[in-house]
Amino acid sequence: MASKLDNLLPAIINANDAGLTFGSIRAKFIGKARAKAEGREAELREKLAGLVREGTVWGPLKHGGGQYYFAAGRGPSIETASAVVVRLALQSGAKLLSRAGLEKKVTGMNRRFFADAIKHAVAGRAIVELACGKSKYYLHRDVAAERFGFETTPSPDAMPPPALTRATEPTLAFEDLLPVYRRVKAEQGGFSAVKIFDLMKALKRPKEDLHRLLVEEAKAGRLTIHHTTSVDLPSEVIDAGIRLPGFAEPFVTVVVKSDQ
Amino acid sequence: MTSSYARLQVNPFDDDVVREPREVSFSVNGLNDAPLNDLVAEFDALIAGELPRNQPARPAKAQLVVSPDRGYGKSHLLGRLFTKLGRRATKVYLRPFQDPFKAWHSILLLTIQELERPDEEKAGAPTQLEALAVGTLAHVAADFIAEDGIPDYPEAPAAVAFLRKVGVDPTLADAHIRSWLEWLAKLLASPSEAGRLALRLRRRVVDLLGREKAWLKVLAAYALDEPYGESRSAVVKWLRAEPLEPEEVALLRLDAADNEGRGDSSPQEINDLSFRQLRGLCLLASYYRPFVFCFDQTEFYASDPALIKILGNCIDQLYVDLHNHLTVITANHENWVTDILPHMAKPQQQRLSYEILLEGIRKDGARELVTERLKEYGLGANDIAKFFADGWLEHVFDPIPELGVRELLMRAGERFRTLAHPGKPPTPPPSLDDLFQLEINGVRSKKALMAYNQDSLMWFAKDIGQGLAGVSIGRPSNRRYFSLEWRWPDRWVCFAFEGGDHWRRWQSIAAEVSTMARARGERAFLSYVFRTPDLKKVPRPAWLAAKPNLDAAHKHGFRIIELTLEEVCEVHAARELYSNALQGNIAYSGAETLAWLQSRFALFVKNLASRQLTAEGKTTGSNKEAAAVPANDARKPSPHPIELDTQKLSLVLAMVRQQRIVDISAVLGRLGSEELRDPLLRSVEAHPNLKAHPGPKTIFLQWRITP
Repeated sequence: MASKLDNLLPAIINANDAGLTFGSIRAKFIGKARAKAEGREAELREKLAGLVREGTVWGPLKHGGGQYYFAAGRGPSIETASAVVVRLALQSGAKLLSRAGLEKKVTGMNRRFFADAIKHAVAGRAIVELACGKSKYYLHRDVAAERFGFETTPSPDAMPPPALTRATEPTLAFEDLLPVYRRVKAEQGGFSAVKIFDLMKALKRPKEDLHRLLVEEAKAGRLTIHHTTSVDLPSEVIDAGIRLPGFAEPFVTVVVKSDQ
Repeated sequence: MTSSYARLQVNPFDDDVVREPREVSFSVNGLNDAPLNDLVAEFDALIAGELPRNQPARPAKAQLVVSPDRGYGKSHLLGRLFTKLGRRATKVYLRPFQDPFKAWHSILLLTIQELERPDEEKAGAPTQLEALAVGTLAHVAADFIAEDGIPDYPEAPAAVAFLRKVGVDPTLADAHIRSWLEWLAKLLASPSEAGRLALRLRRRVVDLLGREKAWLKVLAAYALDEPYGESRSAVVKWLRAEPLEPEEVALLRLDAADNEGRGDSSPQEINDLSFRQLRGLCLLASYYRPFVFCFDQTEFYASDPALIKILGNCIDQLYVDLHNHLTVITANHENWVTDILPHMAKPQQQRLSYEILLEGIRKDGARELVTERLKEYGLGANDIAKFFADGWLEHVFDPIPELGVRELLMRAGERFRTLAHPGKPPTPPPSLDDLFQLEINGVRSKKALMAYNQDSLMWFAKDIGQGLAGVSIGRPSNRRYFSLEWRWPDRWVCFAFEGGDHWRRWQSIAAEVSTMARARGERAFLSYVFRTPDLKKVPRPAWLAAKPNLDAAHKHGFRIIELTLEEVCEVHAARELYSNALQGNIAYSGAETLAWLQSRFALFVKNLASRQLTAEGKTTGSNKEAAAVPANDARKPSPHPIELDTQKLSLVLAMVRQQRIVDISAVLGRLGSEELRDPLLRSVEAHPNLKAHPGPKTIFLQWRITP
């Protein structure tokens, strides 16, 4: 007896990271009887497409002979593949894993994301890439830290607290801006145009100080400032923008040129 | 001194939006070279080695070109990329798709439209599809002779060398190639020989899912037929995933199973077949040249999260399943990160490259751009010096040394108006009516913008229809062809979007109308399909089997709306205007612009919604509609673009050369007929010395001095 389509979403959710192939969904929800199957399959496809449109389900992801569907937030991704890569590198310890050897150990659908997973893990400094001739090898950071007796990177909590009064604050400089800019940029997925509002919040410095620095640095050519696009931004973002004579709109984003 | 400015009828800086990448002709030295070089480097990786490729090239991630603000030249960069790649790539400019169920169909149709254009808009130039067909077949024939050998054929090495040469440059005019293609077509007529030829494809890992022979036959039929011939028409239908009539299957010598398009296909099936056709074209690029797919105007997708998800799916599938292509996506930073990215699944986001950020223009570049524009309009050194006098440029770049190009062009436009009409108060920004008229003239000036476009029509019915009082707009559930509905408690109006002309498809559409009519309950029910002048007329008198369904559908309120060329231009112009508003290219928001467009088309959509049916199924509405069955079969589309004859063109050339810039109305007056407007515009498009400048009131024709 075929199941009702109302159970389609729960079934995909229950499948967790393994997902369900279209074939298995079809078998579960339509059954093997050919009579009425055509009409029900159209209905099933439509229901599935609707779930994908809503964002509760994603797919299809082709793997082997199957087309897999996953619940939102489930299934393989660069992050899951990267976690596998990092775990394998840690398990291997000081015995270095070559790229090819590592790839062989990443199985299933995660294999599809292998190349990006390596980049992700290296960029996140979870593993380090070593080269010998044309071959590449990977070492886990904790293994290196243990062997060499390194301290791990201090957490932001360990940073010295900011000065309490403005009078003691030094003039805001480009060198102060840069690490904050980089952090915000990384937080928004690596996109270079960072909102002045976000910088202001992160720097915890008065708007005027930041505006002065940004205009000076724009003049010097180290960064550029930009208007908003057609998106309606929150009023606090607009208010944090720089208004200049001759320009009807405020400049609300910053791009540091040397950091692209 | 200022009189030179005052005499000019066109402000050289008004043209600040790129409507079509192919129209880009000038770029500032060094500006955005880095982003361009990034894209070219990714493309070059696809063409490493000699043709044909031993195996299809894996694509890079989709290249994400990001503009920090509007007006930094996204479409201009695409234009430069197109110019730089030249004949090395088949460049497909993709305006946003509108139907989440048929995204691949939309992409395929735009790809075929591009392939049907020549590389250069010159009379008699081969289409890109012809070059792809000849290039592919030449290499397949060369492989066949080189690997299998032809018994007792001493000239085999020379033949292979000749075919390789043709394969590398299939646009080379050579009478010999035709005899080779005819030989190949004869081989393909034999099942065993066709099988041996198909094997050549598989040896180069071109897996066309069992349709290798069909693809070869189709390419041969296209290459051997005349422009606008019946075989070519059938080939294009097959490529577009449309069903073929039995006589078309026979004409192309296909097997019945090769005719995969079905009259009663569901949208998913049409979409799947479209994807397979696109996949086939990309694989065959191993023999010819890679594709470059450019998704521009991505702000449009933000209107519907379903569209964003499908865009993400397309990006993922392009990366995973299609070969021999580079995909480029352009976006404004804030639109992308705020409106688009949050609705795109994470794994799909991973298919995008790191951003390729566009740069602004600096003072030196600005001087170069402004000077070039002024020179293009015939202004001399003194006039140009006057333009830059009083430190104008320094003032523009104070205190910000880098600006978006459009910002500069707008400032230069103001400067021009001040010099042309000193003392005159600043011109108010153009009204939406002016901007709309400008878009209409812009669409009218470009043949490619006037073709049937299901996405434009669907957008029109969906977004312009929203202006109707009390309407709910959505997708009818469980329908194959009708993908949009206007719903009221007492009225139901549905739209299907079909560009094909297969009787079975139209029979199925008509049958669906009858099914829907039975489900309407107490509601009044109307249904429509829009058609444009470039499509074949439907229905045809020979469709006897479909006639009962079509007649029944007609009684149930079904109508085929034959849009005039003017109406097509208006629909496409409306979408362009709205797109410009969404991108921040004009001084009106998307909502303001849409409200204006809804008001502009209120009567048109109201007529569609409220057409009254008589008891016999006749209508009292005013829209032009096709009869259920026309009286004769002479209602064919204009088969090819009509240009001016040589005598008339000479007259135009003399007039424009003498006056440099002239109103099209004056030229039409000299030609003696307003009806020659479109042929004149087609001739202007094809002539290297002529350029059309669309304005809100008219179109100006300019004489260009080409190198």
